[in-house]
Amino acid sequence: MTEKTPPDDELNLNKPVAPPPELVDHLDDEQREPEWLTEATERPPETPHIDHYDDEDDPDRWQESEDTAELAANEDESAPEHPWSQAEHDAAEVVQLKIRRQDDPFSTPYWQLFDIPSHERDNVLSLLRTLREHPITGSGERVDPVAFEHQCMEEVCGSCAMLINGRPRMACSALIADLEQPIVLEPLPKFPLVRDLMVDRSRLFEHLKRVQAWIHVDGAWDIHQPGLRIAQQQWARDYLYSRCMHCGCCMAACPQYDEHLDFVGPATLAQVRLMNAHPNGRATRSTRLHAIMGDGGLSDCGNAQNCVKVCPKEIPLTTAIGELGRATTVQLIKDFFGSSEP
Amino acid sequence: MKGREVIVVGGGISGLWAALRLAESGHRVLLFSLFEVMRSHSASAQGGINAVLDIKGQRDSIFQHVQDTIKGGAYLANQPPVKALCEAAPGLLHTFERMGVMFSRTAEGLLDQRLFSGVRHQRTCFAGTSTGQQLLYSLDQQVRRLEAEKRIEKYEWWEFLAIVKSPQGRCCGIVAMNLRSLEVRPFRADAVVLATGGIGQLYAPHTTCSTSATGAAASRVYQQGAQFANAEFFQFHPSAMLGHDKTRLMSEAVRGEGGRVWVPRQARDRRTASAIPESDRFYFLEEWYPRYGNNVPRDLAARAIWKVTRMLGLGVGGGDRVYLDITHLDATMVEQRLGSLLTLYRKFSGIDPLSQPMEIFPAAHYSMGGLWIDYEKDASGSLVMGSPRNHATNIPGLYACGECDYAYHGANRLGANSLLSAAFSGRITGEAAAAYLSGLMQGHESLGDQPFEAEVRYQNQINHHFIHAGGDQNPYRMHRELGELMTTNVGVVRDNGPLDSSIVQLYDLEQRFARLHLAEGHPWANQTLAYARQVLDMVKLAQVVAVSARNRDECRGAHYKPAFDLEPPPHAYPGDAAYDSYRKRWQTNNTRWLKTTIAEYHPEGPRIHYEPVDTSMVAPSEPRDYR
Repeated sequence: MTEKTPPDDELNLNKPVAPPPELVDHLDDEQREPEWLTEATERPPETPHIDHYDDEDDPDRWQESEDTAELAANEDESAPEHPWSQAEHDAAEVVQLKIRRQDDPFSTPYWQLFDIPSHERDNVLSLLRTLREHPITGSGERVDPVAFEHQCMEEVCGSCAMLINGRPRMACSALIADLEQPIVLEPLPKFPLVRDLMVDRSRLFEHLKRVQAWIHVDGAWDIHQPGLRIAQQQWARDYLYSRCMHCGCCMAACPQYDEHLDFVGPATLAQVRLMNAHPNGRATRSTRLHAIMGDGGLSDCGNAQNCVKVCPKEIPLTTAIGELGRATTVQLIKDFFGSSEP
Repeated sequence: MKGREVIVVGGGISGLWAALRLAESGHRVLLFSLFEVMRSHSASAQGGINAVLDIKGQRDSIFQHVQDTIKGGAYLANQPPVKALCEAAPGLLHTFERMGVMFSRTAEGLLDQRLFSGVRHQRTCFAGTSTGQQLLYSLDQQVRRLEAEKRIEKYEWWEFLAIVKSPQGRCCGIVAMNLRSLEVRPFRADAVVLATGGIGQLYAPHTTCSTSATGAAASRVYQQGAQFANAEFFQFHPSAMLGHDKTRLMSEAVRGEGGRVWVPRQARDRRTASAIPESDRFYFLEEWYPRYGNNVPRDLAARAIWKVTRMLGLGVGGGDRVYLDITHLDATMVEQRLGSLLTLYRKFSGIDPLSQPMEIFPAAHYSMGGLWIDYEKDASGSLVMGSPRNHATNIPGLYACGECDYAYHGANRLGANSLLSAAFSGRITGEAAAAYLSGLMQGHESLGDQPFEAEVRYQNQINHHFIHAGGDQNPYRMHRELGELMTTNVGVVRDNGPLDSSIVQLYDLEQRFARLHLAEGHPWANQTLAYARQVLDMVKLAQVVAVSARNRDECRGAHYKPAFDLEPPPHAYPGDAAYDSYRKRWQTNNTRWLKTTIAEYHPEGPRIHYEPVDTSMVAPSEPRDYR
């Protein structure tokens, strides 16, 4: 098959170069103590945990806590290293980020302030990306880059959820111009912390297993027939739920949801609503309903309605919960009378 | 025998399909992903997925789909796999329907279809403008079901670093790194499927791709001997938002639904868009390509925008931007069919596209090229389904599918064919790998621990070097330099001079890794370490792209070198003498260049050779002409 056609002179474009970096050679070098390992960061006490998200307050307002003042007082006044090139500074407005950091799940959290040049229409994520190139605090101290998750940068992958000025939301779509400064960033609550702004959301997916949020197909092969029809009106209602990206914002805002509690949370319930509405999902809907009729299910919802207020995709989560309430009641009656119908 | 271990790397549409089919064949699947699989870049695909269902009574046919795909790709794709792709599309669509994908519907409750570029039939099924997300989630749900049944085991937050080969050169497992603990660990398997996606980050930030589309995994197996094909064919999507952190995609569906691309006729016209009357608007795609208008294939649309802005100087405000206008369309229809895309534009630009035209410019989008893979065809020229040769790389036991393979799109991909090829290739790769596994006489058990331990040691040495190298080179800045270099010199328009210099600069960039400064020594969830390793492998892959592009002295699909352009003569059409002589020149060029580029790793730079293309179904007799 292989045709080695063009003559060598045509192909010999590879400029003579030195061999690739010899990675192994460097291993024997005497290691200098890296500057980034020096411990110099002030570690103020942990901020109060947000247990209940109260929408009555201005959601974007950050309560100036004592440690902010304390932190500011501790900052080194003596000639900070200039982290940005003059051009970068000239081009942009400087935005202040206040980030809650934690090196690993077992260490103490601390706060750091950063001044970052920002362009028009920048968002929190783009500033965090700028920051990782120059991880230098406002007082000129070089620190480890802030760990955070992101992926698509266009609010569809669900990765970059965090608390921004106290509100759970996606960092990519949080525009700087709309935020009060200093912009306070914290990891998403209710989930185990990994590092800095990264949390472990694997619980979300355990919830989905628990309620069997899937359509039980026999196998992923062709069965040579089209699917069942779905009316446009039904499609329009169901489609809303199919866009849930499992970012965890609704759970972070839900007073009933917590790492140590059983509740499967609003997003999971909405998936039950979605699967039960699909023509193929209906066959197994009682299984899903039973899964949310016990502990950790529907009755754990306290009707705080925070979920629907913070959902970045504006999914009508409370509508789903309402519909499921009626469906479980009907299921209960069916169970009582021993109906054979699913 | 049944029930061997198989590894799938990558949790996008293709990887999940492969995992599903492998698990359904009774094998134990280990699924690796950099993050929870539902975060994969497949979620960003907006517009739709092609399948000939002929819902709109336009006499669409499978053959037409095959022909459109082959011509759209400038005849560079091997035709048996393309035929199999188009034939399987309707069945795939119905399987997705069964899994619960919320496809948009007609008033009768049937699957709705819309128009995409490079075709003249409404062939694209869609779920609003979040089709990729919906397809990905339906597979994610199926995989979760099999995970709950212990038939698939997920390793999320693990990064693939290398394959491990037996002394005979067979792929017997991988070495991966835990992205939290940084533990480097071997995993044994009898076959490995790579479904690791595209390479758009080579052009960052001028790309529509997610941060994971680095091509690092493909680069790593390339450096271990896997062949990389057609690397010079990289698609620039005509319509991406402007942005300095990312250029977000505005789906081709916008034009399919009636959106029009234009610039003011007058250079640096200072009026607002709405104040410019029809007569002063230059609808250049409609004027230059009257038959296909705004729906010409992406390579032509991207180049037209390039020409209008960079050569004619007619970009809006004199800059790199043109209007994509939907203000003349019915607001209710647009909202229903393009809703989430409009929301995206509003959120990130602050402008409502229903009242003001969007501003767009081409951006790096999709790699037609990728790991070289095999296929088996029967006497009639059709793909042999279930053959272990399908999607096999040149390393036995290593398979590739999805955007990281090179198979279906030739020199230019048609819109909405990528979700199709991702799904189809994943499915048949799962089946092919299953066939390979059942034919194996001896598994990885016969192999000692030595090759695994050696690879782990080597990978740990790289980590050690990266963490402790005391230089001055910041990986984030090197990535930006790479993106600028590739965008400028290996972009929409290419010339041999800049390509030569970029090859030199890329080698220089590689050398600079010896002077790396990671600036982070933290042993837990150290993101800079994983990132720096990716950037090095991206530079290696960029060399393949640049050298492949330098070697191909012609224009074909997305690979455009003005010095070798063969334009159809203006105002001449088939039948005219001028056109016939153009056709002759075009055919002569094909005898020289209609062939697959194959790159092989060599420490001093990629070695290139070529392989003939199978054109057994649609003979390359007529040039592409969308005028």
